Amino acid sequence: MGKFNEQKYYQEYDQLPPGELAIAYLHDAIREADELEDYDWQIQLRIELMSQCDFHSDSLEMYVIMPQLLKLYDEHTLQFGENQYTHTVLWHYKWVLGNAPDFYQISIEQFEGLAADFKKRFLSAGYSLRTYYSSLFSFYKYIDWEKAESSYQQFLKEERDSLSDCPACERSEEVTYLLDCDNLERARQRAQDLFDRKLSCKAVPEFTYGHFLRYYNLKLCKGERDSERDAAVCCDQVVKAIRFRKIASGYSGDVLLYYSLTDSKKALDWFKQHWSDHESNRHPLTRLYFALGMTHFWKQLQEKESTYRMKLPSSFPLYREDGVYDLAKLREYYETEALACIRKFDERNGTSHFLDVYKGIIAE
Amino acid sequence: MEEFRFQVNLGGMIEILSDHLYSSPEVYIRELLQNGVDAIVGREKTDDAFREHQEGTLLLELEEGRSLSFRDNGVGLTKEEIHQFLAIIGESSKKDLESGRLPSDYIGRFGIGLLSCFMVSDEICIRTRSVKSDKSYEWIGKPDGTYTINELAEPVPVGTEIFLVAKEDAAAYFERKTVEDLLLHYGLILPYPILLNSGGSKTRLNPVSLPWEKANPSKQELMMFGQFLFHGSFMDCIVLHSEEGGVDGVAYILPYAVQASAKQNHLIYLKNMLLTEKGQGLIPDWAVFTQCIINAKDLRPTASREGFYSDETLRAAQQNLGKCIADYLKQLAATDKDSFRAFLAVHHLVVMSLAIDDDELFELFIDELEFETTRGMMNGLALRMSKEQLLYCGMKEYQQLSQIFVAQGKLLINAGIVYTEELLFRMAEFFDVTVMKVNTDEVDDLLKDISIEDEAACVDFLTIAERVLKPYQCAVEMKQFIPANLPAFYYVNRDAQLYRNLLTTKEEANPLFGSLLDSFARDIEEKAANTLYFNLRNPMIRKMTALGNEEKLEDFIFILYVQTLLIGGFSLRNNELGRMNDNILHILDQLL
Repeated sequence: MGKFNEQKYYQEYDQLPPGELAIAYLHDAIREADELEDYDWQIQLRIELMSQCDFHSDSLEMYVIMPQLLKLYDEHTLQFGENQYTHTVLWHYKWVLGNAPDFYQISIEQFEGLAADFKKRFLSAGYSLRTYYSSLFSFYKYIDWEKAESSYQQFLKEERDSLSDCPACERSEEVTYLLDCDNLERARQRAQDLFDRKLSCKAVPEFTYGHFLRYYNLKLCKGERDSERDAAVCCDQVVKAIRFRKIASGYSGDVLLYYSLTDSKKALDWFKQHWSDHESNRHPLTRLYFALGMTHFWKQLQEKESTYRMKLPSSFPLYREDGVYDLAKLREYYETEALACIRKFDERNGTSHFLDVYKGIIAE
Repeated sequence: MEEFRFQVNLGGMIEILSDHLYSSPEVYIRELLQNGVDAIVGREKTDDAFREHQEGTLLLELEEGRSLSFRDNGVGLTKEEIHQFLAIIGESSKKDLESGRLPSDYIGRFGIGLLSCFMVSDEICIRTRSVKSDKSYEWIGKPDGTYTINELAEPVPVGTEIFLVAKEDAAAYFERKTVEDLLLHYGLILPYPILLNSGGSKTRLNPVSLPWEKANPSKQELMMFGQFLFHGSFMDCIVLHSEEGGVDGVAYILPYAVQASAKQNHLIYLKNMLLTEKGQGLIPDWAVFTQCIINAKDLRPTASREGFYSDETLRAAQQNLGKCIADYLKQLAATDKDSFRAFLAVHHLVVMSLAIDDDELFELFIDELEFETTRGMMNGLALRMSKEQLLYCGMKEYQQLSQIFVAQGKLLINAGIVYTEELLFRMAEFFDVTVMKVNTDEVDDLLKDISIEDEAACVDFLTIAERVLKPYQCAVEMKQFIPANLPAFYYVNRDAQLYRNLLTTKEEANPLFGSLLDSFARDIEEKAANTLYFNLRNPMIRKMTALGNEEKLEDFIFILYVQTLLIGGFSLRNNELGRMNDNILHILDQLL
């Protein structure tokens, strides 16, 4: 057993931009802390890695880190009875649960197993089940609305405590619920404090803008253009969040779809800047919406011409040296992926929600 | 139908205001200053001599920790106006602010702002005489909404004096140092003298003129002003101007690197009165390397007057301020390379992010931007002139591959560093260069094929290696490559890294997560490629291929595999660790 060199860590880590560089650094630091068996740093570095993965990467790695974190935590608690990291570990556990709807790899049974474990840990540590119910709502909303609705009502009844999401996040969740209920007017009212930044946090209102953009896009696809101006504002905010803060990249496909609906030049630029992120992204829901946005865009271009000339790096999967791209092939590439993803999500959920979304966007 | 009017509890309202509208009781000084300035502006409109002789003055008299009197020689109030300004609370002032109906040269509105004084005092006493009248009045207001008005026997000078007595828990807001700091904080750039009379001495607190308002402000003067304002030194400064919103100010360039997500504290003034120190929304997000002081004349404040309404004018002003900063950088890049490089050395990440979005900035900056490569740091110019394929990869792959690329003098760019990949893509768009992400094929090319004769000689060795490493999902190949002292090289792509992590974690995880990790592993199994490349140039490997002892060979191959894993920074899985221990014991046993 030894002592992790925290001074060196603070000096070096603080210099790094968020994202891949910081994540690679944390992996090395974790290995060092593991070798030294420095418990505090084994926990703290993993917590930091969870944050990086949630805010600046595709979240998948959280599912690798969380069991490591729980193992360290459980062993220590078993040995000493008390654990100063209870709050921190549970706080991050709720991220794992909260992200589950976005990964089709997680079956309903697996989610329910996780949720039961999560609930047990929260109750035994004396915390309210507010977050638990909010996670149930998010998971079931595309599976069983009645179950989701009842979870949402339970969420409202449970008391807020230190493990509840911050007031800004909870307001954003409320706004999402209202949008899911198609109550735009109320959603706008409740979101106003977020948009005025009277309530804000690391993720909000940027994610709230993302929820609205997704909602508005579907309306625009139906030809309802009343909210076009609001959609433009939301899109602008999401673009800023992705570009300058490296957060909200889950809405990259929504930006693409909005541009595809309103400004082809911007859509093309967005595609050129983000196709590579898409190729390496492992977050299924993000991939699905990007693939949908691309499908829509190529389909639109296809209506005017059959090929398009552009210069792309040779790593682009359909790269052509002459720069002449067959739009049907481009569309097929993304549409195939979108449909495969939709099938996996809908199979897991036992519904046709995502197929309906696809139909709404790529009108037949 | 009967109509009723509900009662408003002013005491409750004050609590709401102090809890939600104002960020701290300190803002009472800001509100006093605003009322004073508006009164002076009002008088200047009707009194030419007053305006021309610049007689407007704000005077504070302080009894340390106990009371404060704030006097302006502005337009003053008639009896009717006194009644009216209270009637306005909560009824029209906020509406006027939001609709922009207030006169453009008024900072605030006498009324709602005055309520903030109740956060520090239980009573507000106002003595005033209007410029339109000979009569003087005294108004005394209480937090419960009641007030009295008396005509004063002794007339007071034209203007308004507000008298506050510190609440028991608010004495700190009446200390000289606090009041002085707050006056400077909020009123630093007000165009009227702010005089403080305390302990028998009268001092002017704010400067007589502002450096950027001069026709040709000297850089030295601007820099000194920045040092005074922000208590720090800067690399350089940029004068800012926008017709839209009537915005002027200075952006100071920070001498240290900041992350693109950082939020700077800018000093944002509205009509010369401090509005906010956050300033998000006015300074473009990308300009994180600056700290700014800005005065806006024609932007609309929010009700709390701590930010601006997001409207077309604000967006236009933000664009113009962004243009000022971008123009400065362009100018610097074109005319003063040394300063530009010094700037880049500190703020290259921000510049990289700018260059991605803007064609003009990209062309201007790309040649100077530096990239980490296997040939050391190379700038954009060197890369695009190299006439080689620009191969890049992520951080982890770079760590694995760089040793071979360096040894062979080949170019590989580390795209694990933020913005690198996007910039390389833009290079492919703008210039005649080929940009390519490393994949297994490139790695194969780099590791040269062995001769047919060698291939035949290695068949047995590779068969055994394949058998040994199959349980660890690792393929094997025999190649020859530089450096010759590297016996083997383990290459995994990003998916294989994750796959490996999933399996390693699963071994230790509880069954609940174990099943989850299995699901993820199944999903990427096909895409995961990991290969152990043996180097036939290495004398030890050549010896091993000739070794007839199969048992020994199995042990050696496995030790080599584990060694490459550890060099690559991978944690060992349980089955690998177990077999490694067995191997070592086996070898020791044989040696003994």
